[in-house]
Amino acid sequence: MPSAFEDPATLAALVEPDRVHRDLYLSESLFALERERLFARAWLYVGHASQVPSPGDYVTVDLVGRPAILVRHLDGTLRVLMNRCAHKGAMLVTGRAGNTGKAFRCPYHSWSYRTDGTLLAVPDRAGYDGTRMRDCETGKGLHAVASAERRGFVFARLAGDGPAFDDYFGPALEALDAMADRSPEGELEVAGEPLRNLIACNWKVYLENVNDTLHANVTHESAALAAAAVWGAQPPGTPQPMALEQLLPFGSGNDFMAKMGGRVFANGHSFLGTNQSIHSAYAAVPEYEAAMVQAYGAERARRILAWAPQNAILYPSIAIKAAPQTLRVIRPLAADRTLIEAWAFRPKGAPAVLTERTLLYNRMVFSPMSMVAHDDVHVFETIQRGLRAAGNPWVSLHREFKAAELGCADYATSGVDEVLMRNQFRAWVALMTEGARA
Amino acid sequence: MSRNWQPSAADLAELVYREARLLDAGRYEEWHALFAADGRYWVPLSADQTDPVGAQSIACEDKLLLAIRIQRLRNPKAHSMHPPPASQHVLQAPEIVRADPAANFYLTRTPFVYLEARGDGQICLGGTVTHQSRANGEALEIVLKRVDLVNASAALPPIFLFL
Repeated sequence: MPSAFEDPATLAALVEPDRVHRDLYLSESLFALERERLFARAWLYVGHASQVPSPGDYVTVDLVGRPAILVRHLDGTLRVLMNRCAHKGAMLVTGRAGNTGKAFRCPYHSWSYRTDGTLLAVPDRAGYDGTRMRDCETGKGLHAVASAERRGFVFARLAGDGPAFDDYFGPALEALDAMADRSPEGELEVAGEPLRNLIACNWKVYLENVNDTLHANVTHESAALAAAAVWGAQPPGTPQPMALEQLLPFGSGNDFMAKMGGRVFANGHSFLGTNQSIHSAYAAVPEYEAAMVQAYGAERARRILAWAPQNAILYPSIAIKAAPQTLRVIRPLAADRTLIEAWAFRPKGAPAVLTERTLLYNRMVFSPMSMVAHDDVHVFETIQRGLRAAGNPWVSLHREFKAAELGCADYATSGVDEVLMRNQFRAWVALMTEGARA
Repeated sequence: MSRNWQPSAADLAELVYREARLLDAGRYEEWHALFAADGRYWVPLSADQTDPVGAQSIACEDKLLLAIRIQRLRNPKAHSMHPPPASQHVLQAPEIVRADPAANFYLTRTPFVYLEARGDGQICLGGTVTHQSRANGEALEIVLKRVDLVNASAALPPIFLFL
């Protein structure tokens, strides 16, 4: 279906320097175009190397509508393959994870592929003699897409052309290093399966909110007040449980949020909480800190542990909290439907309490039963409906707008500056219109 | 002596029914009082999970966290309560897995269907709930309510109330 949005000028007009048009959230045809352009050219998070430790190990994942397999090839390298038989299109594997041995074998006609995607065998091969099969796409086997790994985090770019991995993320890659450095061994592993949340909102609503500090003590007022009241009624001297240490800061005021600090980079990436965050004041774990000093020396260990931003975003697919070691994956399903996975990471060589802290945070804040997320989800879903109202078609992102921020590839600001969101939309326009020219 | 009181099979079943009835009636404070001081409400992420805190759970709350959750629901600024959700537990007859008066240890297993309606929407979930309880005086108190959803590891919509 031809779409009016195909024209780059029409697309660019939806994003003004300080506000964006509601079509970005509501339009199914724009979402289709995002899949062709933005999500094809951006580097998307696929999974973590620790999910596939041995050759033949694989996980299946949906990359914005493209079924993919992350597999460890026999030579130990990681490959991202499309989960589509080159013959008729059946999916090679359908479980969430497994080990395929030396080859993927299609359940339909037993075409088989090596773990780098190349065609291994077809049944009754003589039947293809003299045909074009081996010279066309089919003969190449499973489509392999560009992939890159950084400290165990694996990304893929669906389009054959587009920015190189290091150029695309630039200084934002520090967020991945910082989380991995929290392990005394410099390595993380996934702590089991993620929490998986279905939310009836556009993916951008979720991603903007990751950088929204001013909603916390409004949206989460009921949770913060209840935590404070119930905790306040405990007998004096009761040791504060970790859960309260995590819940109470949701009531932090706007002044605290402003002083958090923010920094935005080219291509939509950002760090929120460059100075402080609601995670900064978590209780010290002496045994862990000793292991960190042992591994890195006192000065470097201090710097690693001091870096606890509220959220780092690697646009458009992940949001990271270095402490607790949490990664959220934003997996868009439709213009008005988004899947959020919340993964916990175990820092190798660290005491179990660190992972328990992460698991606790995820189930209290990023679970389908979270009393914190419930109020977020309520607001996100009403935005998706509220934006359809007659009249004003614009979403305001005016807070702290300054002309100087335009074209700035690395811009430091306050923790309440909506440039943390404006920057995402500038990347959106670039990815959507560069894709048009390609 | 009350310490010699032993629950009957009917008492064990009634605990399960009463617990669900209080939830569906929104009588959360009375529901909370059914739990032992060291009681826990647990929704694992996988059926074979044995560790509630060292592996990811959908929910794992002690009495303090449950009290916070209930207090939040009572606050008019609990935005997700507008419109207010309503729940309905549909229970199969509880099966007594273990009744051990000497150890003061009781375990029932109850398949269930859970409906939660909010506005014009409704979700339907199901699974098995396991109640571990003990006698305290002449009543049973819940030591652990474990809810195993049949689709616990699937992508789930928000569950606003209590399974």
